[in-house]
Amino acid sequence: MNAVFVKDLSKTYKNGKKALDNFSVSIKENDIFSLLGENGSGKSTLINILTTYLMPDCGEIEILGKNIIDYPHEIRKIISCVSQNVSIDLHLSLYENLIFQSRLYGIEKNKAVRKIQKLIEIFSLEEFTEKRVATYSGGIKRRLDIAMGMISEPKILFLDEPTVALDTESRKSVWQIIKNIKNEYGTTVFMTTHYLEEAEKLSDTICIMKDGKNIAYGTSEDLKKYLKQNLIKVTLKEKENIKKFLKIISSENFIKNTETVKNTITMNVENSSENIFTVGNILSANNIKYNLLSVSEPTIEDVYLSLVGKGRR
Amino acid sequence: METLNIFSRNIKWRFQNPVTIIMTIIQPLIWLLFYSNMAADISSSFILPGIIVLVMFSSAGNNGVANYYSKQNGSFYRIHISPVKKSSVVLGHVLDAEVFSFTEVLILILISFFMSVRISFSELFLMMPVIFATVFFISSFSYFLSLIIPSENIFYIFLNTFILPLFFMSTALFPYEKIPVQYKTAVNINPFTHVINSLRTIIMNQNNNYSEYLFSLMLMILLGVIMFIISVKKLKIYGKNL
Repeated sequence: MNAVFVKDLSKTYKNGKKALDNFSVSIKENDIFSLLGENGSGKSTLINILTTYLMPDCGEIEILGKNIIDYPHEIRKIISCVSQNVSIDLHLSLYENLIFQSRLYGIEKNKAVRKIQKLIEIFSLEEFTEKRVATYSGGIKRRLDIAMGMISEPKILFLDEPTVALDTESRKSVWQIIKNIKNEYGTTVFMTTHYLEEAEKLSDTICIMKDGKNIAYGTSEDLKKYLKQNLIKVTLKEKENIKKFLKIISSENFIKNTETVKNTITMNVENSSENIFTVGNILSANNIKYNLLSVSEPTIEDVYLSLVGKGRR
Repeated sequence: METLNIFSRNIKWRFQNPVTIIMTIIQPLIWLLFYSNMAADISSSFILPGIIVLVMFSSAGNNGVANYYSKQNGSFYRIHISPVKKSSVVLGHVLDAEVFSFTEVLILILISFFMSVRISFSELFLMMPVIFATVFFISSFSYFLSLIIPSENIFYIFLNTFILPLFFMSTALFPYEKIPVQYKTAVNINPFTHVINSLRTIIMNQNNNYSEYLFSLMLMILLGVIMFIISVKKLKIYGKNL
């Protein structure tokens, strides 16, 4: 059974903005699913509909086989959502926050206490139980926020930009927590993110959204193939030669576009295995010294940028 | 249990932020002190019921403000998508407003004691149902407003636009007989006139006017129940019609 099944979902707000346009996707149980897209692409609208907050205009939605329009109350019992803004109550302690959340889901006190102990352990919150929540760092607040989302042991956990505004260390800690959630609880994780690296490292499946539409869906590897991109990377020894090299290759028809980062130039070409020799010849003929010349695999970032229409050139 | 959960969360915030209690009681208190001393023919006992209603406007009227903060930080959404009943959510907020308002009313009564106003326990007991029903109505209405008014600033403007006219267009400051004829209909239509009158009959020991007391009590219960149901219905569809 699919954890989430969405077919031809559309939503237009009263102000006329079309947020979702015949969007379809299906997510398997126990998968970590990432939704990528620019601001305004419809990610939050989709989460708001899937969590029963917003009503769609049309389309079919099933959460673990239950129709969301017919069974919103039943669905609320098996899902949980951690919104983009940390939503913990700063006037309550860590323990009180977790107890409050457990009562929202009608969890009996003894059971809640046992769950809280387990969550404190899994989320490494032991040393913070006695401290005032208001004094927590952003990363710890986010961990508590996700722990609150897990108190009801939901079948599906929605995470809206879970690592936004966190430092590198806190982000890695949240990544580990997301993996733990999948492994310890068997929860399906549906998350939106701006960090492509995050999507690539954590997700079983990825969906790229643009203007309310699903424009690419699959595993990270599937999406890379989807791009069918041939990349050649060259790192020049001297920075001064970059302009000269770019000028020379601008007349070569096999190069579709280029991107320059420091001394490294990445070229999107027609056939990387053949064109690499031509590039090597150009470099030698013009006496341009280089440290590295290689065929490069596209990253998920390349796929994303290509699909959402941000050309590299 | 659900209601108690929401209520205890709100009340913890309230008592950790006593400044909200102090700030909302200052204005009515100034009115009480000022009016009791300035108007020679008006006693503190006469003015107190109107000031009690003004306190209820300030405390219960602000009940919806918490929603704007919780919408900003995401806790409104977190509670909304949980399986908790919407009636429990609204009731939890209304009960918070009840405790807040009763605390303020008791402070007012204590202060008015030093202004020679004497209220016995039996009179206080008689006043409580009317106060409870009035706060229930105002706080339910305030909660409803917070669901339909998009921003906190407009919410405050709306409150300020209506609170003082409602206060002046009642018997809060003048006896009904002294109100000019052209305003009498408006004063009679104002439901809070009847609340003030019934509290006044209790405080000024005019206990023979039970019909006014029962009328104001029934009116506030009716308005409170209607407004509570409307708020719950609005909360149920909140977000769905955006």
